[in-house]
Amino acid sequence: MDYLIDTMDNKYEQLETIGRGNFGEVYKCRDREKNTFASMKRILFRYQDDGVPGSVIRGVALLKELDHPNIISLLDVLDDEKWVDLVFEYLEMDLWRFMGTYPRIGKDPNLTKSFLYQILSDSYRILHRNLKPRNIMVDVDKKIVKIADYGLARPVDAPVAFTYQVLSPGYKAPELLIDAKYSTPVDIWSVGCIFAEMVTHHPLFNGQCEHTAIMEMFSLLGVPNVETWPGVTSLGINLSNPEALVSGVRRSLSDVVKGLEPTGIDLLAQMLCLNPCRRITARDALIHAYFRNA
Amino acid sequence: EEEYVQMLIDRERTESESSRMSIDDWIKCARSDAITWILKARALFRFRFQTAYLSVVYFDRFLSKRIIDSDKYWAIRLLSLACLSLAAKMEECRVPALSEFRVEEYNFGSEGIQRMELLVLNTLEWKMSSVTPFAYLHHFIAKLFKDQSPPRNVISRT
Repeated sequence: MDYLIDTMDNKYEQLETIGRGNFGEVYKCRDREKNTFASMKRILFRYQDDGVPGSVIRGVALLKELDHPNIISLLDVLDDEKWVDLVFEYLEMDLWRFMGTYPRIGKDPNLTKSFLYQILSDSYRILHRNLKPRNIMVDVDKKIVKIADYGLARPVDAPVAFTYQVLSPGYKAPELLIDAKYSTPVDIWSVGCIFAEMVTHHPLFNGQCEHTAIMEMFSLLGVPNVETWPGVTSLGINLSNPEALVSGVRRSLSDVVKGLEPTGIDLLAQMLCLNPCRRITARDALIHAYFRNA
Repeated sequence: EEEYVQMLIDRERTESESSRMSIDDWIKCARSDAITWILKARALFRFRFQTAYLSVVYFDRFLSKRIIDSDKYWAIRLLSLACLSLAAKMEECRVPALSEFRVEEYNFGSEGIQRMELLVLNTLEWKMSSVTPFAYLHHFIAKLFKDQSPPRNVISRT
């Protein structure tokens, strides 16, 4: 049948394996015609009687709707009887490695501003839940960042896992750590953590476990109360002894995120608002004074 | 809210433009037959109405891009089946196994149905989240009934 002509072997040359998840494997490959690299995620069909899995159909349909310069794009969908290959654009470097590899360029305040703007400009389109420097790819030459965290576009996690266990604690919003309902503000929180890290090249919160992550947050941002976060008492954290929830000396954001201009500190503080309802939205963040002279 | 409706209109417009087609009599007849089959199967599996509607949208989009010869009646059946199965995977919480879909005259087997699913997916370029009137309907019903809860069955009665 004609639709099977474009198989992997003809169009792409398979190179090394770059990731593995419980869906299948991720390979680096080369487009023979264009001589460019791509990454290819192979998703195996486990059960023949299910046909093409619903998660794959919904995931690819979603990716097809997203078309944004700051999103890793889906280039091709190739199929065989037993699997489907999703071909994505390939970028060598993620933000985490970028900061390690280019300590000087990486700290340029204008670059930080530009990267933050790019990340925010796409993030209100979809709920990611999993934003972290490893999921943000960097095109070093063009100075463009692209989020690689859309369900099936996620490099290694299982597709559509709607659980609380999806994020490394260091970038997790407080409402995720205490099992409250969550929505798009969780992404703004993560972007705030990434913002601080781009300035200092150190993770803002280490978050060894969820309990220490909460303590770190409260130590830096203050312990919430019913006034700053109505409903916080119903969330299952014992706030009767606030002292027990903080560790070490209290420091302010400007002490910790040294070298960030005052408008940047103000934006960061609004992104790291503990109460998700009062946290700044992506839309408002994009028109914040910090970006005015960008 | 307003933006959302505008977005729906825009998407519907681009989709209907791309799927306008010339329908000859054979296809007309086969189509009406396919719709009857899809509606019957919908009732059998207790799918929602929008699932049936979406299957017909897939069916039409497929036939606007590919031709099925008039002697291949079985191909129309297989296409209806694959469209319904795909729509169910987009819309329903519980999706039957391929072997649970029964067509009186033919036995396609799971393998055959899966191959047809892939052919439909590729033909429609995997763009499976088509806008249906149901998306508008939920929006308007929510507006009409503001604070009260809308009467039951309001969607299926429309």
